[in-house]
Formats: sequence, C-alpha cells, structure tokens
Amino acid sequence: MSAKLSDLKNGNCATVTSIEDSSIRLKLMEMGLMPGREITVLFRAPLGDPIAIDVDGYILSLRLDEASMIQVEEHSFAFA
Amino acid sequence: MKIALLGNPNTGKSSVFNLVTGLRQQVGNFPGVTVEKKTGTLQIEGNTYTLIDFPGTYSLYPRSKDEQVVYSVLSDNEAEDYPDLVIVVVDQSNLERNLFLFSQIYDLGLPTLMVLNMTDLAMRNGIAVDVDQLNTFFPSAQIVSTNARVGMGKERLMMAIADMANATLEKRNPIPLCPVDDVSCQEQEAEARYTFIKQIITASLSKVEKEKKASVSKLDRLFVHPVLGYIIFAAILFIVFQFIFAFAAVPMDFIDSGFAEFGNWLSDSLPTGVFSDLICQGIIPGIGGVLVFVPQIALLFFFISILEETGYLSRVVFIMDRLMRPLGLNGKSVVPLMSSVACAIPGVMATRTIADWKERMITILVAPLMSCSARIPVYTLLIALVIPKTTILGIFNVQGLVLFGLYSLGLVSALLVAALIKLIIKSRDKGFLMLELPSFKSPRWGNIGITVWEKVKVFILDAGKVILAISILLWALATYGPSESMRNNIAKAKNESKELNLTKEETNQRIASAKMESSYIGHLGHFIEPVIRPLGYDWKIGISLITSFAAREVFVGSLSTIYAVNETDDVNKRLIDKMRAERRADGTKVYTLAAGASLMVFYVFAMQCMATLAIVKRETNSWKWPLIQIGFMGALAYFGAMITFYTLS
Amino acid sequence: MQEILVILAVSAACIFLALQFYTKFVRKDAKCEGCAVGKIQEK
Repeated sequence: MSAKLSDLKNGNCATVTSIEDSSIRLKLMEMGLMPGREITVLFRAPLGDPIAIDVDGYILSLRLDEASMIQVEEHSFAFA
Repeated sequence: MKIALLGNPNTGKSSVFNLVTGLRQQVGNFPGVTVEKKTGTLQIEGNTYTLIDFPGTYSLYPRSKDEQVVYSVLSDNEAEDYPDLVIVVVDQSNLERNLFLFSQIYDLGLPTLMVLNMTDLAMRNGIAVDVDQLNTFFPSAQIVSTNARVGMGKERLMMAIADMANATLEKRNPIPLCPVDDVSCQEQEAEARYTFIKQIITASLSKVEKEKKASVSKLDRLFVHPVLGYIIFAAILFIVFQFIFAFAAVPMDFIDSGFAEFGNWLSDSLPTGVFSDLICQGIIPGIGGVLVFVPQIALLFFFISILEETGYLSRVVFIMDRLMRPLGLNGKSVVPLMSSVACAIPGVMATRTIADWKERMITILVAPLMSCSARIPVYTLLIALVIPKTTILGIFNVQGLVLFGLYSLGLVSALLVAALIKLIIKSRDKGFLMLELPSFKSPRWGNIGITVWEKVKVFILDAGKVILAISILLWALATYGPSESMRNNIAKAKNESKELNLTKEETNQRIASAKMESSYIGHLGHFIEPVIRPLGYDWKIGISLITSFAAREVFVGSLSTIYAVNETDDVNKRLIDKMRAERRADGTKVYTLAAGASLMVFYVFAMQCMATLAIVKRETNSWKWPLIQIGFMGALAYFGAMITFYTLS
Repeated sequence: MQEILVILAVSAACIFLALQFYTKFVRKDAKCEGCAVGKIQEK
C-alpha cells in the first residue's frame, strides 16, 4: 500500500520508494534515508509534529512537511 | 604534525578527543569563521601531534554554517588547518550511515585512521564487525576499535597514530569532490557510495536478528509524552535554577568577603600612595567581581552539559519544534536560547546549526534577551538587597522565585519579540529540522568536567581581562577630575561642615562625596541623571549603567569601585551593606524595592554586551542587525524599567 | 614613583581596551575559509 511517510501511524513499518526532488533529498540520503530503506515510525512529538522514525538502528526526527515528501510502501504487519 | 578528527554527530567524537588529549586542550576559532575549534596536543614516544576537532557532520557537503568549515578545510590543501592525517570516528552500532562520511574522507587520499567506537552499544544490539574484512575495502586505512566513553582503547589508538605518522604511505590519487553547489553531482555520488557501502555491509557485518529491532524506549515514552514531556522539561529547568542559586551562594559569599578582607589587609600593608589605592580600590575589587560568579557559570554549564551528554537535550528540541515554529524559530533554537542562559556568545554561535536563514536570524536577534550568567551577579546583588529572605509555603525561597521570574521574563520577551520579528522579516525558503535523536547514555563525568573547566577558563581569561581593564579605568575616572571643580567642591564641603559643626568623621564623609561627585565619572553620572531619574536611579547607578554597556557584570564591579572610593572609615564593609546604607540627599533610601526592581527589569532587557554585539556583527555580516538589537532592547529596557518603578513606588 | 605606576597601569588598560575594540569591530579577517562556501550558498 503506497502512502506518504507523514500519513503513517506510530509503529507502522514501511519501505521508502521515492523522495520528492527538493533541497532536502540529498541531506536525507546522506543520513541514510533513501529509496529501498526500511523504516519504522516510532513516536510523535506532543502536537503530532515532528515525528521520530527508526532508520537502520538510529532515531531520526522529521517535520511533517518533510515527511510528506517521502513516498513509502507500507508493510502489512505492524508492531505495537 | 596536524591530525584532523572527524565523524558523524553523536559518535562519541568528543570522548575520543578527550581520551587522547586529556586536559591539554585549547579552544579557538577556525580562521575567518567563528566556528569553535578545539585543538589538543598528544605526545607519543617524544613526538608531539596536534589534534583538531572538527564539527560533527554526516557528509563533507555542508548543510549548515558550522559544517562549511569541514568542506572548506578538506577541499583546499593550502588551508591553514589542512591535516596530514585524518581520524574518522565511526559508530559501530550504525555502520552504514557512518561509512558514508568515512568513504568520502578516505577518497580524499589522505592517510586515514578509522576509530570503530561504541563497541559496547553495538554488542548490545547484536552487531559484530569483521574488521579484517572491512579493511579490505579500504586497504590504505588503519582500523582501531575503542570504547572511548569508558576509556577503552587509548593505547591502541595512540599506537596506531604513531604508526601512521611514521609510515611512508604510498600516495593515493584523490577522487575529486563535487562542487559545493552542484546538488545533482552530490546525489549521484551519494547513490554510488551507498551501493558500494551495501557490499561492505554484506561482507563485513553480522547481525544477530532480534525479534524486532525498533522499539521505543521507556524514557522516550516519558520525555515526549504530550503532557508529562513539557512538565518534565519545566521541572528540570526549575530545579536547575534553584540549585544554581542555592549551591553557588556559599562559594560566592566566600569569594566576595575574601576579596574584601584581602583588599583591607593590603591597604594596611602597602605604603600609602595613589598606586596602592589603585590596587586596593580598583584592581582587587575588579578581580573579585570577575571571580565571584565563576561558581554559577560552572554550575550552569555543568547542568547543560549533563543534559546534552545524556541525549535529553535533543528530545527537548523534538518536543519544542512545533511550539517554536509559529514564533519563527526552530526546535534547534532551544539549544542557542539555553546556551544564552550561560552566555549569549556561545548561544549566537550555536545558531549555526540552524540551516534556515530566517529562523537563524530570529534566534540570533532574541538570544541576548535570555538572561545570561553575566546578569546573575547583578540579579543576585539586587535580589539580596531589596527582596526579603523568606519562604512561601515552607519550601519556596522567595529570592529564588524572583530569580526564576526574571529568567522567565527574559524568556517570554524573547519569544514574543521573535513572533513579532517573524512578521517583519521576509523568508527565502522553508526551514527544516532533520535531527538525530541519540540513544540515552549515562553522562561521563570526565567529559563534563572538561567542558565546565573550558567554559570557566574562557570566561576568566576573555571577559576577565576586559573587566579588569575597565575597573582600572573606572578607578582613574573616579579619582581624578577637573581640578577647579574638585577644589571648589572640597572647599565648599569643608565650609559647610564647619558651619554645621560636624564631627571629624562626618566632615571626611562629606569631603569624600564631594570628591567623588566632582570627579570625571561624577560629571558623567550627573550628565545622564535627568534621563534615568524616571527609572528611579541616582547618578551613581547612572555611572554603573554607563560602564556596564561594555559588559553587564561590570555593574557590580563599578559599584564596588564607586563605593570603595567613597569610603572614609577603615572597615572595608561588604558592598551590599554599603548599598543598603546609601541615602539620597533627602534621607530616603536609594535602593528601595521599586528602584531595585526597576534596575532588575532594565538588566533583563538592555543589550549591554560589546562582545555579543561583535559576534552578531560577524555572524550576520552587517551592522544592521546589531544596531537593530541595541535599539529594540534599549527601548524595552527603558520603558519596562519605568513602568516597574511607577507601579511599585 | 607611585604616580608613574598609575599612569602606566591606566594607559595599559586604555591600550588594551582600544585593541580589543579594534580586533572585535574594525579589523577585517585576513583569511576567510568559510567565505567562499558561504557566497556560493547564498546565491
């Protein structure tokens, strides 16, 4: 199921499919977030924004509008 | 021989730095930029090496101001800090992302040493690295494993450094970097590198799969909780400030009275003369005025570095980002604003991590509104002077509460002003956050001790010299004056005393006041008195206001100088007692609650720090911003103080 | 004698403050490694 990273719920797993061409794409790639990467949404800040995701063992936080530039393929299973 | 230390943020780079250099460290700036440059020396078998600590980055290509220095030094072999050897600290528990920077640096062709750090964390996560296998991908590099936080691997690292320094390595051809503004070239490079890194990972990393790798730690559940998260943050701040006030009071009193006694003893022992006066009344109180708030600076940095070391500070950025954005700030503005509580100078410099121009500019403009430690001596003196020493509800120290209130006033005004500036400044592009939340660690007291020591040292050496020079100057201005007016005033005081039939002591008091009033500084104070009278200040406070435009902490030193010069009896009373006894001509107290509170408010707002202005000028590269800062902060200070004075009197 | 020492100390303080002012506000940095990168990014 294709979605934006910003739409995922806490605990959802997904694989990054593409990142919108923008000034932050390179920076995301340099931090290890690129197409093919498996990520998990871990938690959100109190007001729902920014979100914290697991990228290969470390926690990266992104604002919602940054996360909305990332297209992901959601995995069917999730963990709590 | 120069060695550069590089690595991703949160890889324990500073632990590695402290591990090999110990206390042989110096803090300076990279030439031409205000990025803090820490250098340290290490000695191996009689050879001395200089280690330069670069800002932590994820890539050689910069995304914020403080990262630019990495690119500019490493891309230019003529640069002053261009290294002969590069040490890259690699976090073993996060090898893939760390290898990105490492491979970039390796390709520069310099002798490269990889420090595989955080072996404990990697082991806990079930990650094992086959070092020999890894080495086959980077044949000219050396690899050393350490766990710098617990001091493991120091010998190995030192030996590897000596090895590499002595070996004549065959020159590798550097692979040229992309131009700094060519993003598509950099993206292609990034893709190619990750393809390469995938092979390395497959070959050299074995991972014991656990049931599920990602989970939210209990601490994170607590710290980012919608309600508890903010309560915890507020509580931590409150506790920190209560502690600073309570703990620092004892050593501060000790230093304060110690210097008073010392000055007293010295003035008895030295031959009489003007130079002895300069030492006892100008220099000794001046030095005392600097040293007296070392305990508070040390405590503040102690707490801030604990929060940073444990990883809590980045959670604060995380929960504050959404709240800061409507104000034109960034979650990362929290760190500069918090640092500004210690000193606005590192605060303004810390804004370099904010990549967005507008968010950064607003943070710089409001950072000096946060109450810095230079205001602490002013606050503590005034609070002790006019606020009663009582408790509310049995536990809350009223003086502590007032101090907390002053800090809050600074914070709230900083946020409101930020929101206002946001409407005025036009933005060029959208800001971004993209922040790593490091795993929680228990603080390493050695690292914290070194940080505290460094900050205190910089404060004493940099601020101290200026303050000392100003107190010498002040003493001269308070001792000498236009000779005619001096003579006339003294004669007048003598005549008046004779007519009123005063005792000898009272006569001397009158003469001393007359001298003070007709000195150069007395003239200056009188000159500005009409302007500050609506705020409830007399000319002596006026003098201190003028001098503290160089730096706020000079306020206390100036008062010490002014009242010490004014002294006639032998007992060197402590400053606060002198201030308490100070009367106006009509016999009313000078330091009433209204005047004291008005002064506190003035110091919350006023931009009285040459050093900060200089940094803002350099960081914004124009005179416009520091001038705007003086303007709006000055207006806030003047009218805020006036309103306070009239409300309370 | 004491007067001379006072004059020396006061002038030393003045010179130090003037130098501080000069280095912090007036002097241009001879070398500026970050500048080239900064200029490109500001474009």
